[in-house]
Amino acid sequence: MQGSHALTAAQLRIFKNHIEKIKQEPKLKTVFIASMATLFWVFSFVLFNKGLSFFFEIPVIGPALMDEAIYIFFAVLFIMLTLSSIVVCYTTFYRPKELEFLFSKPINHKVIFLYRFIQSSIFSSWAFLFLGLPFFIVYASIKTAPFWFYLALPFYFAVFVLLPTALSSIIILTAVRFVSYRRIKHFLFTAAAAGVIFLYWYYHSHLSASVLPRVDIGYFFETFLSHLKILKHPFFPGYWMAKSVIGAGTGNASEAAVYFTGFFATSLVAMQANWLLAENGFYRGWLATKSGSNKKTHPPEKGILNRILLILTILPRPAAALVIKDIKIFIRDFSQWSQFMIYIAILGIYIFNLRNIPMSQGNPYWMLIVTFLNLSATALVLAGFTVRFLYPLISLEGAKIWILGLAPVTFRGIILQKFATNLIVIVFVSEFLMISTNFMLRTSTMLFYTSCGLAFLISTGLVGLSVGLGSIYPNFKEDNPSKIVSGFGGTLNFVTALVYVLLLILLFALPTFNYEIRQSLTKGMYYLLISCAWIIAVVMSAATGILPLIIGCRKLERGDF
Amino acid sequence: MIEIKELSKRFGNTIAVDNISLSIEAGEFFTMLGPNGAGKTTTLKVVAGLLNPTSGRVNVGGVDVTAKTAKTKGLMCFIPDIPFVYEKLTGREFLYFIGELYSIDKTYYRKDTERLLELFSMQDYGDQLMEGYSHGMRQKIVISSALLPSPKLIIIDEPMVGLDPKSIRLVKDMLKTKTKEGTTILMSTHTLELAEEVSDRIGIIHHGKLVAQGSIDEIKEKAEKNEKLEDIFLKMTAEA
Repeated sequence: MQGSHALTAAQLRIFKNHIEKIKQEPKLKTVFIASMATLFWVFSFVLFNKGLSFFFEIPVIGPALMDEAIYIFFAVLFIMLTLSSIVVCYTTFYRPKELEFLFSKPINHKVIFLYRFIQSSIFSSWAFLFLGLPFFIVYASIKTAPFWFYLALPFYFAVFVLLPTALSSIIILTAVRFVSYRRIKHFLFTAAAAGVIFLYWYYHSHLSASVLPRVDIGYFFETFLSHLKILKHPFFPGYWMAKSVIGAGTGNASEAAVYFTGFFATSLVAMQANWLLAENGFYRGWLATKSGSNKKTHPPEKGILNRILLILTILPRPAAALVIKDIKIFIRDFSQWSQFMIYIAILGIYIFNLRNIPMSQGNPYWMLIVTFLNLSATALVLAGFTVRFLYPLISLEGAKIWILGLAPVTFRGIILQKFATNLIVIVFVSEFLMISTNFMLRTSTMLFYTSCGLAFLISTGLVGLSVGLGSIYPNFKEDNPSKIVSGFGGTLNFVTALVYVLLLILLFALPTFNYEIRQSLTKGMYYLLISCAWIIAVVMSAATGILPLIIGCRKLERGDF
Repeated sequence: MIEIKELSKRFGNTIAVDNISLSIEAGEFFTMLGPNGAGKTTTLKVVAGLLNPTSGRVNVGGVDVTAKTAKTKGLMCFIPDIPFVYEKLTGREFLYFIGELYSIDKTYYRKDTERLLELFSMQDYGDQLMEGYSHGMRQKIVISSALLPSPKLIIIDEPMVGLDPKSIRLVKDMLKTKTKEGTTILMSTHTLELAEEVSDRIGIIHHGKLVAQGSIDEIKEKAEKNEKLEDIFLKMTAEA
């Protein structure tokens, strides 16, 4: 097809140049990234191993429960991949400026579409490829799967990524063609709102009433799983892949092949639909995105948003100007707030589900486990959130950094402004989560205050770490936040945040368990250890949060732009 | 206003600016000429404090620019060759943002914003997001943003790229007026006619070295009789 050879050659050349550039990077940096990635991978492996073994080793129902976990895993993954692909396809198909160059060249439009499609698949699913491998290996080892299971893994990965991206691509191509690019945000927002309403209805009519009254764990699992039958609907693609993997895990080649073929055939049909849509609509859709009138916004200080933002004028003027600028840009950037909404939805679902955890029996072991798991889950979500949204803050100034570089404000002031304003938001979110979830879990007063105090420290550490590392390793050449995060600094931020959160929680969890459950500590010793834990936690949080900020300030003040 | 002493800037093994010394008086219009990659933009960025010198010193208003204090930064404005702006802000919002960032009197900057938008025929586009602006429209907004804080020094890198003839005329007149009011202007350009028309002095930079400096007449005097600035420039920047 015309242009495909040239485009492929150019992409290969870009890839080779990228590798060459990496080779020129300091060896220590490359070794560090590789070590961190390996460490993270091993950590995921251990975590999956513990989790799946826990299910598998439950007497009588263990193996069946593990299969149920596989159904849920593939169902959730399929839905998440489709949702993230919608956001990625939206931003990758029509926005890149290189499209003007490509469309002006004698390249078949379908080749350009295919090239954007492959990019979208990689952007939206690289994390699945990274984390999916340890999951599959653990599953296969526990199930003592035949050797061909491992050989089939690359095919599973390739095909499982293909269908969600193909479906998302159909949605975006159709929406841009028939809804118009400028209204697509409203279209997607309406669709997302409808999805949330459906889930709310489903939850209330099928799950909550029957699960809540009784609290014994067997009944809980039985009832819970019976209500997740929707995930095992024969028309649901996630079910086909789960069936195929379960079949392959037990050596049932025919079952594995049948369901895999079904999934693959559906992917091919979806690709064919994409091909037809792209042939008739990709170029025209792109033209439509260029032809719309540039919509006017409200003049400054008029309109709801501007009026709300007036409250920020209590801040010093340059700081207020920076905060208002950041908020407006964030709200107007679809790729940013759509992913932000996904985080909020995850937190919402989490709080919603927490209500169903049976705590009223007063079992101290169960109560402690759930309280610390709750703190860990909240902290890990916050870690992901701060890495994704706060780490790119300085980098997103991009080629516009000259504006701040020349303004009569210091980089110290700019970094402090980004730290302080985001800290307020993150502390608010984390404390809201801690207070509400601890009320739901009916935790003891001591655990309640410990959780809230730790949430404050963790928020401070995480915000400082992300803003600081984002200043130490800015990437002013990239304007895609997801790509900024996937660089060296982002990886370092993610790994450091995880280690920091886990260490901090262990610092409190270990003495509490030894005192409350094992009763191996005296009351005096327990209070002494907890007091020491608080001192260490404050020092650790200050070091994690403040040191990167100081180094980041110096780096920017001495930097070339 | 500007004192450059033995300034050098390296990027790895590449020498972008090689031992340049230069002095520019307050209210003077100084233009740097040179072929692509000669080191003009690098010199301008070092003076603006956007790049650190490898060696040498740059003082603006008697203060070392590497100090990068809020006070020294408030003295100058920079207009880059590519007008990178916040695409998700409107033109008017961007100018208001600059007004607040520089803590300019609110009534003054609002009035001046409207004046500048009108001057550049941008009133109808002021409330549109800048992502929809053409290169020239962005350049007009960036020039307006540089003029808004009334700086003592304006540093401009290729100011006329993308501007329509009317705006070019407007910018030229505006810059000349500014120098009469005491503002110093340091500009880089490839357009020799522009340099000839507006500059008090020019400097020709080649391979990072300042190979000639002085008024147009002084430079012509050093060359052969009746030679055009273009011929002098081509000779001075000819590769051996």
